[in-house]
Amino acid sequence: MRSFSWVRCLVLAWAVVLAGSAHAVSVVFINPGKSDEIYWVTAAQAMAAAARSLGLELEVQYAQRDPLRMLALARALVARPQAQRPDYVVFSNDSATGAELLRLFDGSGIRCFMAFSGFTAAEEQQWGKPRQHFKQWIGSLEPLAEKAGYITGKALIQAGRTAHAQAADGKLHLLAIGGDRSTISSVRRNQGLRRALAEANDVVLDQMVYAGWSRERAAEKSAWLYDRYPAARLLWAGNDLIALGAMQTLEQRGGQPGKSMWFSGINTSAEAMQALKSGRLAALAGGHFMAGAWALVMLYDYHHGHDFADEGVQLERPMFVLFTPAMAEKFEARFGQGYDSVDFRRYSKVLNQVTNRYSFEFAPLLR
Amino acid sequence: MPNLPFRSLAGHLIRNTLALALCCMVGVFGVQSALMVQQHRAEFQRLVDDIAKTSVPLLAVSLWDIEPRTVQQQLNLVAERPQVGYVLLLTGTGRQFEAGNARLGRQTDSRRISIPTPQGTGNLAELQLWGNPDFEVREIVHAAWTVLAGYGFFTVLVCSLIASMLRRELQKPLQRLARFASELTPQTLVQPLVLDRPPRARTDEIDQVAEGFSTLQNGLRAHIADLDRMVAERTQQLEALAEANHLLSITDPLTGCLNRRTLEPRLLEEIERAQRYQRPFSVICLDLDHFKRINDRYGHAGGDAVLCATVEHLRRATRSRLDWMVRLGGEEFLLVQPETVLATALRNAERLRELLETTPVLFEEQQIAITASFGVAQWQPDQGPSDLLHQADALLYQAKTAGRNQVCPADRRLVAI
Repeated sequence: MRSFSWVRCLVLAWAVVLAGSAHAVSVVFINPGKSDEIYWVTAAQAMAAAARSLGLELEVQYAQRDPLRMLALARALVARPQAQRPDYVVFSNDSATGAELLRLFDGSGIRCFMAFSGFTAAEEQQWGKPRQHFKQWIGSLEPLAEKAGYITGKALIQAGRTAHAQAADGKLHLLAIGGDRSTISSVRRNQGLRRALAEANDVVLDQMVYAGWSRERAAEKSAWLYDRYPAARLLWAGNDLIALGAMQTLEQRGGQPGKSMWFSGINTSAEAMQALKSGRLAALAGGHFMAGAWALVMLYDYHHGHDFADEGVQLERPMFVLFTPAMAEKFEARFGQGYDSVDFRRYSKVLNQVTNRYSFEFAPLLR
Repeated sequence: MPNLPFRSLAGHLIRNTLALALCCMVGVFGVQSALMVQQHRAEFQRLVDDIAKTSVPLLAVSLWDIEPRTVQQQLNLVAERPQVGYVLLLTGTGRQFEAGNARLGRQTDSRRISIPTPQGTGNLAELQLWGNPDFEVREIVHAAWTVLAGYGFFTVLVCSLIASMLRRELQKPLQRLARFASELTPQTLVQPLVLDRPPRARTDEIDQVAEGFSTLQNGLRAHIADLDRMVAERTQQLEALAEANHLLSITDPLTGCLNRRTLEPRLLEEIERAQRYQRPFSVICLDLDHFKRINDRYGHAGGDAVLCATVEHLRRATRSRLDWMVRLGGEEFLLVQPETVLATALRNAERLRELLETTPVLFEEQQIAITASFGVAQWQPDQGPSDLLHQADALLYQAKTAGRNQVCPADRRLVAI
């Protein structure tokens, strides 16, 4: 009992020292998505929960999928008076805006952290790694997007095999609608699909197109694809919205997702979870929406003197899980009202001296 | 020249030039339009080839990637070209895109371009292109205006230049020439032609006409001068003839003495002068003695020779400038001696009588002795010519009666009277 109160006193004293040093640590998240876009809203909610958990001050600004707006938001932050500028800014290298954002923040005193999507190999070639060319760019954290593509692809092929959806040539014909051509997470997911395809010699990829993460465009493009490839029975989607759009088109044409065609998606929107449970969606992977929240954990540790550089300044972690209907049920039960049930303090190295490696896997959260 | 209405040569030339220019303009425009139509067809074909090279690969990729907005944008870009009227794209799966004016798409034939897949394994769609006839018309109209404006400006410029040159070089000098010619009279023939032209290095047709005019003037002038000279000559000849005629009318053709007709007016003049100046004058009337016998003996030729010799003697013996002589008829003569009183006249008569008596006439190598009788009288105031003649004649008769070869009166007293 005595020793316990002594530890508590130590923690309190340390907290006082921190509070005395300055105000609460402030972080701005430049959200590349739309303020009604389920994935990015979920990501922001998870970050907000993490910030509350860790005692950080978080401000989320939506770029509404407009690259120019991302730059405008960055300029507005830099234009703030010194005292009102955040300590950290978190952003994603969507639409290849990362380098320009780093350039804008360079010399502003705001430290940068790239989450969700980092530099491509070519961009890294040109701009270098964190803390090299841009000194205030302290690091990046990316989900292993390749895995999401791989596990959904593999599950989708398996669903096709199970349903005996082979065409007249005895092969499974697969259509793919990716997110976009440039964002690294999109590229990696596509690579994952290709790995799954390479492992399955009974599957033919008829064509891959890109729908810009949009449900409407996916609906439109899938119509073309259904006309162009009447033999295709499998459709792999870069995210849940694309899958939902393509399914909607199929239903309009008289088809039945899960019965005449099989779909896979990525992300954890309620609609996607519902589709998985109803059997319309054959495969769904998710969990990487937590990347922002995990980034806050890393920033918390960095700010409190425990630099993540010992693990690397560019971290890639497997954050995806392939959902089963049961897991979907559990996910909804656990996170339907938000993410405050997660104790993010458990992942901090500062707060947990024993932890020597960040583990940002999603599956343990569903146990 | 028939009486036709006037038409300016310069105006006629300008009108004809303008008409010719207009014809040429229409011709040039026609040829150009035909060429332009051909050129437009060739250009449209080139454009179709260009589109096949540039837009079709992009369309192929956009179609393959299922980017309908990009496809539509590409079609819009193609249709934006002014030569293109309407574009229609039909995909293999029955989808249709169009851009431009659909109305044009139904009118003419189209150019068709197949759009292959990016892998070249088959056809994704077919692109159909229709030309824009409005653009062609617009281009031709634009070209027409350019040609019309350029050609019109050039024509006006050239015609103005020609008009100005014609007026200065032809019209004005010719009008001046015409006015000069119409105003020319025999009196002003020598007046030189002044055209008032600016100085030039060379001569021209106008100068030739002017020179011709000058030559004509000189010829006319010379001709008129020649006529004057001939007229003067003829006049002189006529005057000489008239003079001779006059002489003939007042003289005796045989002896050259004044004839009887002249006597009375001359005598009257003499009387008037004597009256006016209170001067005396006398007359001597003489008649050859026995002249009939001479005629009979020597013939009329002999008689004539005697008469001529007598007159010659008398003329030589009297004052040639003052005295004058009249043949009164036959062998009778009257000698009028102005400024002479009777006594002097008597002396003169006596001298003449002696002269004739002593000087025989030589005729055909024979000497014909002659004598004459004289009647001498001095004019008395208020005596008329006939009175004076009568008196002298009476005195001559007295001398004849008294025996011939004598002067009557012989009495000196009469001289005193």
